[in-house]
Amino acid sequence: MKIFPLRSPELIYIVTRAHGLRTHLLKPEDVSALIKAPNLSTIVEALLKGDYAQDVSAIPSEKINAISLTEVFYKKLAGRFYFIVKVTGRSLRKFFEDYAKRLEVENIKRILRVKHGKETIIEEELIPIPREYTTVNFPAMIGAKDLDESVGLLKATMYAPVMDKMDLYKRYNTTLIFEGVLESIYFKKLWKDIEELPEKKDIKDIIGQEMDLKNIILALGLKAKNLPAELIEASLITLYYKLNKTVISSIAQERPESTFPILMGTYYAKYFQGLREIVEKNLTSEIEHAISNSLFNEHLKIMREKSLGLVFVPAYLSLCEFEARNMTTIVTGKQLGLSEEKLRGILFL
Amino acid sequence: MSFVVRVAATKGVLLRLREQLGFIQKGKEILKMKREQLAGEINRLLAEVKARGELEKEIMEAYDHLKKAHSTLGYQNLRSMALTVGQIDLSGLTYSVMGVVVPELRIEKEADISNVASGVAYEAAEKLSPLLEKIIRLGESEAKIERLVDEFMSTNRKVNALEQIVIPSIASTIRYIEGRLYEEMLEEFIRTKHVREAIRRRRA
Repeated sequence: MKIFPLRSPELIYIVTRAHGLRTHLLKPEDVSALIKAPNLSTIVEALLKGDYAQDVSAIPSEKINAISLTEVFYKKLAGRFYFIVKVTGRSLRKFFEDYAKRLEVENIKRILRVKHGKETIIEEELIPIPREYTTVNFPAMIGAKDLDESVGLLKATMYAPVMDKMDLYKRYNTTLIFEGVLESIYFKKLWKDIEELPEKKDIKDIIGQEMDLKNIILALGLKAKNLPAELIEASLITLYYKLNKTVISSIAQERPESTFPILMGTYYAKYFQGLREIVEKNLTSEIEHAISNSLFNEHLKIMREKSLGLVFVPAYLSLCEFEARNMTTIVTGKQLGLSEEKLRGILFL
Repeated sequence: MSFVVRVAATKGVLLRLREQLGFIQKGKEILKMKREQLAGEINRLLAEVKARGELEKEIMEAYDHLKKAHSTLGYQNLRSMALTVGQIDLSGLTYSVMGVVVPELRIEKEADISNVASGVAYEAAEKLSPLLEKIIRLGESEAKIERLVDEFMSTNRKVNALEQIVIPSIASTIRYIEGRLYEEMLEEFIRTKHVREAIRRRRA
């Protein structure tokens, strides 16, 4: 007889809640129906019957378009993330709070890119994060006169190390440096939290794989741009799970033809099987999509196989994120007149 | 069609008109040469503009990539990525082709797309960025053609006016004066003969 270790009530509670919340996500058949919708109005009608109804119905009919709907999807995503944070017991909350910081990181990246381009951004263009869950003063960052001032506003937050990269930014005039640092800070913080968790092996697996694969995609993307080695190094995530710095550096620096064998020699070989051609041609967007899609299916598998473990919750959150991305793709694609076939090619299914 | 200008039928006028005709004919030849040069330049530029169809195809293909990036990332995210693209720097110059001032655009700095973080957005930027130069070159050629064609038509009108109106009219005026001078000369000859005959008869 298999003996299960005693599990804390708060862990059981959050996993049970996540099971319930999962039923609110769109099912594959719902996504298929949305892909087949002839226009945006049909999609809106379908959304009015589900979890998005409240937010979608709040949009005035003349303002219904892909942009306003995307705002709704990301608002919902933030709502789902912070709902989990709210219902989690104290010992687990830190991890989920920090997990949700990926939305904060995304917002900071958007602001810094806009400031780099000397343009303006409005708060609606950011993912809405409840004030109590963020230490970043987004309105002040938006209102800052330039990128220097925006970065300066991160001083009192966990993202303060970004300020140390100002010299490198000025030398290469690229925000990729900040993006790499932000991702590194995010994953380092999350990694530290995982150590305090029960069932940390499974959580490490799901977060570590995401982190490593993100780093591989980043390295392949940077290679395509022929950037200097110093810049490539500064733009990568500096934390590794089943990879190491040498492997990532060689992926970033070797010729595209030599990359595939390196990837096949790593722990992540299964993700790259069947991708030889696109890896050798270094078609980063296709690699990015194929890997993300595999990750999506991997997380679905985790939810099936480890449905009673804490790992079910981050897998659910990951699915929420994929849903927001899929919905954005569907509404934007429909507005732009993308065919059903083309849409299927860029969705996570 | 030619007009005969009624002028005093004198040898002085005839000489002046002959000089004028020679000058106008030289001018006509120069204008013809200019017209040929302009036609040659226009033909050369037309060959460049013919690539427009191909360019439009390339633009549509790049737009497909842009649509893919837009759909994948959403407007807000794509916009923030687009703002990391280093702007293209252009300077406008002018130069003269057979006296016609035409524009020339010089790309001082190409758009730097290496800052684009997402693969799908980078791919779209990679497809669009080289097209910018082609679009600029096409616009430049079209503007040149517009100006050269204006000048070509004006030169053509001038050549036609000289060939059809001015030269024939001066030539017929010359012919008229020559005729009048010939008649006057005959008149003078006959008058002289009559006078001589009268003097001879009076002496006899």
